[in-house]
Amino acid sequence: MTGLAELDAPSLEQVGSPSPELATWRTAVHAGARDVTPMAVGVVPLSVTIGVLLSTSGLSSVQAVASGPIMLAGASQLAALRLLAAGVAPTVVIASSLILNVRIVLYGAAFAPWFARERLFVRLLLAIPIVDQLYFVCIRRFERGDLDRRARLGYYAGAAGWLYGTWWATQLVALAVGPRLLDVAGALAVLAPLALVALLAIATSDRPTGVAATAAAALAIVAGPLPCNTSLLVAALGGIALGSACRGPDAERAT
Amino acid sequence: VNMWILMVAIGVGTYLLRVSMLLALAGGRRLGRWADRPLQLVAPAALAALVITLLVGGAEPVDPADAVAVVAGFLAVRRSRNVLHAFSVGVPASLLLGIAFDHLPS
Repeated sequence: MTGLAELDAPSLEQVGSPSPELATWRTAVHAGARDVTPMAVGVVPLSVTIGVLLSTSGLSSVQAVASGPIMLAGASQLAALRLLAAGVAPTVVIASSLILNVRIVLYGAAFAPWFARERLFVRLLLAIPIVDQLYFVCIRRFERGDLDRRARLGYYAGAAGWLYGTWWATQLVALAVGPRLLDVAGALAVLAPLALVALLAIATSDRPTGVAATAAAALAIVAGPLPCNTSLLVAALGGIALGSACRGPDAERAT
Repeated sequence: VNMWILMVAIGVGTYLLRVSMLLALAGGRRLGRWADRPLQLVAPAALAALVITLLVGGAEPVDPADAVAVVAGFLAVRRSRNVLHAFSVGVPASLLLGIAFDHLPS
């Protein structure tokens, strides 16, 4: 993970021609879709869980179908559905979901230098799909430095389209099959936490991130019985605070 | 409560989080160092809290097999950097441990 303050505007045109497989828009789109595929497959268990929850959530079918594209972030969608099912106050639901998504600000900051030369309208569009998986895949690819502006856009579009296409499609299938999937989903309740712990393993790369994760996990266990289901909020904020406090001299280098 | 309002509030709020830095850092500007640390820690803290909430948050007690499986999945991804190994390791672990725990004298 690159420290925000270390992010230089990348020297974009210093590299000559793009990689052969990224010569055209189409090949760039395909390369993005190909590289994000493991992540897209990893999201399926999560989206199936969300779909099953949607089918039993009491939302109207239009709302259930639209909730994915409106919220466009699996973890917070899942959290919102669970909190709603627990009868939590709407303001707490919104606050918890948004706190979960504050991490996306970091991803936006990481993408910003790569898209700095795009027009405003394009940047407004590029912001729509930003999420963990795109960050992990695209930034790693961009940092190899062999993509030009157009190839980056194609790669990003291919990765985002394939990721969200898979995600929404499987969510809708699970929503449609719904209650009949409940038995399977109940037996494999471990799938959603596994999908998220995979991202967690990628996100914890050094000591401070490890401390933040451990502290947040411990707090989530301790704070479980807190009223109004605010434990998620409290645990996330506490983890961030403790991780910041522990961060030692290695804050000086990008990690 | 109107669910549309709730969904749109989360959606619009999330979009603002997404677009904020693409707009703010457009002219080669950078984020100050003050924001560096907390922002880097949001992903691990939020994901860890959510995983634990999913495991222990339900009405039923935690399934020990699932808890071990999640730890195993974490370690597998940590080693391999491949998210799919969370499932290749975690799902069999959950199933096998579930069977094993069922046969433990309780």
